[in-house]
Amino acid sequence: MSKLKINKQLIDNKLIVHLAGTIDEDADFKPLENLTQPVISFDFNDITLLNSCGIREWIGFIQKLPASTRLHYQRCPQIIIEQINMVHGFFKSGSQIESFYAPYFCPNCDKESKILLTTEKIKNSKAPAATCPHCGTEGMEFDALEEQYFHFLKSK
Amino acid sequence: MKLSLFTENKILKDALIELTRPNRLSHNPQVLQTDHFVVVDQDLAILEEKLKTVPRQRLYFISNRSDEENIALIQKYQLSHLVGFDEKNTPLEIMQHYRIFEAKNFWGTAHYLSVLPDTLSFSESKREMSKIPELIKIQSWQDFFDTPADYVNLMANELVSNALYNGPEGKRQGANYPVDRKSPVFLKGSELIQLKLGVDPHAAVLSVIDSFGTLTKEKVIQSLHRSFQEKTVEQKQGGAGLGLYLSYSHGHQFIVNSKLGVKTEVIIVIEKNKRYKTYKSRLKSFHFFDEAHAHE
Repeated sequence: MSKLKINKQLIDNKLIVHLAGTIDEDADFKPLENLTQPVISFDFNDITLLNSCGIREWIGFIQKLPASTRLHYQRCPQIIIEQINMVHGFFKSGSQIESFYAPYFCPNCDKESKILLTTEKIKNSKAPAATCPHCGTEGMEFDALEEQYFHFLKSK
Repeated sequence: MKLSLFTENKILKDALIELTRPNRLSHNPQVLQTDHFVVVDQDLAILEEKLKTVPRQRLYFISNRSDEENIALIQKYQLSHLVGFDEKNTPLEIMQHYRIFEAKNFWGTAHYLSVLPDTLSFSESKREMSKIPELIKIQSWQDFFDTPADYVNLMANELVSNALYNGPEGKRQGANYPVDRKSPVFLKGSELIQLKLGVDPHAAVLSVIDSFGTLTKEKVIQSLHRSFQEKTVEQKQGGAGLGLYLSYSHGHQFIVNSKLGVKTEVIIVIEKNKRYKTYKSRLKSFHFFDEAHAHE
């Protein structure tokens, strides 16, 4: 039984698909088959697990979508970014990442935060500045290896 | 037990000499002359020389090359032990393994974890997987970066799935293997898969043990090598071929204990780090212990 919950929302001509739960071997993408919208935006914010069989299911699903469909990815959690960087094929050619989470560390309050970044803020694989949501300190440290973490932006 | 160390690294040398001082370790005088634990640091020429005389089971190679290059080396030389160099953790890792050889028993989490782990058992593939996040939730993740639980959840899911679906392969008469991962599998009474998880002041340790013993060193190396080379899912019946790769990549020490045809244990050690960046920069270590060669 699929542990993936799918919720569709049509705004103007753009279809937003909220995904929640687990993308694994049982993920059922049937509710998303035969979509004809020119742009589909997938919101991964509430995905808790994407395993290797789930990646295979996802790749199989997006390959069946019409070639003209443009896919957008938004609010990708850190664990999904890691998987995308490690396994080819998660992105359909021509797709676009709108936003994703990245780890930052505040040297003032000694806390880590996941900051939501938009793709256009990443220039030459350099992390943008961020303010600590806990103590308000500006200039948090990006807490990953930039070349490695932003690798997916080059390979999309 | 005699330790032979081939290194130019003074820090590593001093740390290991200090850790192996006789008064710091208990020795069995009877094995002092016969047992030999060889550590080669970085130098491939020395490694090649030692491979001619030292059994792979007791030969440790320390490398500061990339994980991808290290997997290629493991494949080329069919190494049983490759330690990804890390200034802070390498001496401790070598010592953990030195003690494993002293104890002559490599099974279980006790060599890597100072507390008793929590345990889960699995006999079927679908409903019981939801217990994993519950077990992860009750651990103390204090002083870890923010998301180790996500990685442990992924690795546990991959390793338990592999054990449930691939473990019985070749042991079931009339069964069609590999089994489609969408179909449920049910194990028989004594065939339980056991997952252990614990966190102590130094590390989080995950262990998945099966009662089949079908995962050989060749299969592990072949799977890791293919995954690092291709970075793609396999379009075949059964798993996607990336479970070991993901588990290797998200841990720090990747350890496989094997008794062929009897049991396999995969252990993942994640050293405690407050910073995610430190967690990611650590080069990975690979260890394969084979019961058949344990006393060579």
